[in-house]
Amino acid sequence: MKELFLQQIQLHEKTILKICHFYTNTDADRQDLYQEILVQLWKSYPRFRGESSFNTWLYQVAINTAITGLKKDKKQIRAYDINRFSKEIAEADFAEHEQLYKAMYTAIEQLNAIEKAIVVLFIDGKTYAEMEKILGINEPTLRVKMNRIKEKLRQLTKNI
Amino acid sequence: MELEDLKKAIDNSVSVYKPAEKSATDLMDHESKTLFADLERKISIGLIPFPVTVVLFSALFASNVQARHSILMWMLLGILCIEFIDLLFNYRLIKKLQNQSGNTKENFITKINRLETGFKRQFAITLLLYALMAIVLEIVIYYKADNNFQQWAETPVLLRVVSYVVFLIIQFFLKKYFYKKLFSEQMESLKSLIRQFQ
Repeated sequence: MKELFLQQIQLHEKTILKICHFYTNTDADRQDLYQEILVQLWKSYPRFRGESSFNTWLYQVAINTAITGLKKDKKQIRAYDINRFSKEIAEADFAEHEQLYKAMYTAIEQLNAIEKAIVVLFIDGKTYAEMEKILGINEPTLRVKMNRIKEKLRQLTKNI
Repeated sequence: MELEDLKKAIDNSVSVYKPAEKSATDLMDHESKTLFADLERKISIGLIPFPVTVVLFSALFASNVQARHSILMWMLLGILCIEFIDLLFNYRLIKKLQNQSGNTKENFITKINRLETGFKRQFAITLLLYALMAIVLEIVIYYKADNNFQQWAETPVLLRVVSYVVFLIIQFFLKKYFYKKLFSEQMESLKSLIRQFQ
């Protein structure tokens, strides 16, 4: 079972990293959340019956953990690390628009936990039906929320 | 800059997310660092003295005939068992609250329901057991089954009943206080998250 689980995790590692990236501010927090998500996935794995795809199940556990998982004091003590954007953006292939992406990420930071989950799923190219399965929010509400999020981000980044 | 632009940029990039420092094999067997996991560890430590005390009581009952026939000793053991049951309830609840499967909204609503009904059920059971103990005590007094309660038997019935009621009220507030101390932070955070779904 462990082997199969690890194979699946390897295939979906990027999804976990993406969630960690959007829900934490510092490298240390990101490593902690990554570990916590893996622990929770492994603990929940025996209950995975294959009723939904592995990716959908992984998203459910990972998002639930990211939102409620870590101890509050840990989240608050660590300072916000603005420089992480430069480093990661430089590592990525869109360095020429660094300022814009920095602004976008900073704006996403200001969204609430559920809005962030919608953004993560949108960036991963999930359909509204898939988002509904993961978050439990019905499609019409999701569409309204998505429009509001886009408007919010537009407002937050309009001066850049 | 639109969200779609960010999505496109991420789709076209090779490496946006910094890889984990350790491999999954190294990380998956670690202890959980959540608030509930922390509580679970504390409560499981709190559960250890109970079996030890039961063993001590058993040894006492086996070696001392007077203790074996003392209703007071049995009542002390009863109180201990009620508190043990109470702690076990919290332990079971915390175990269930750590489940992260299922869609996000359903998962949070289930957790809130568990926290709300958990207290009611737990409170009702422990208080009922304490009330039952008071009834047993009154039966013991009525049949003069234990001389240790002679003084208590001489107290007016009304005063005895008032004492039992006061004891139950104190128990209620104590249980409520500890329950709040254990779970109120998570409860508030879950409720605020549910509001974000609207």
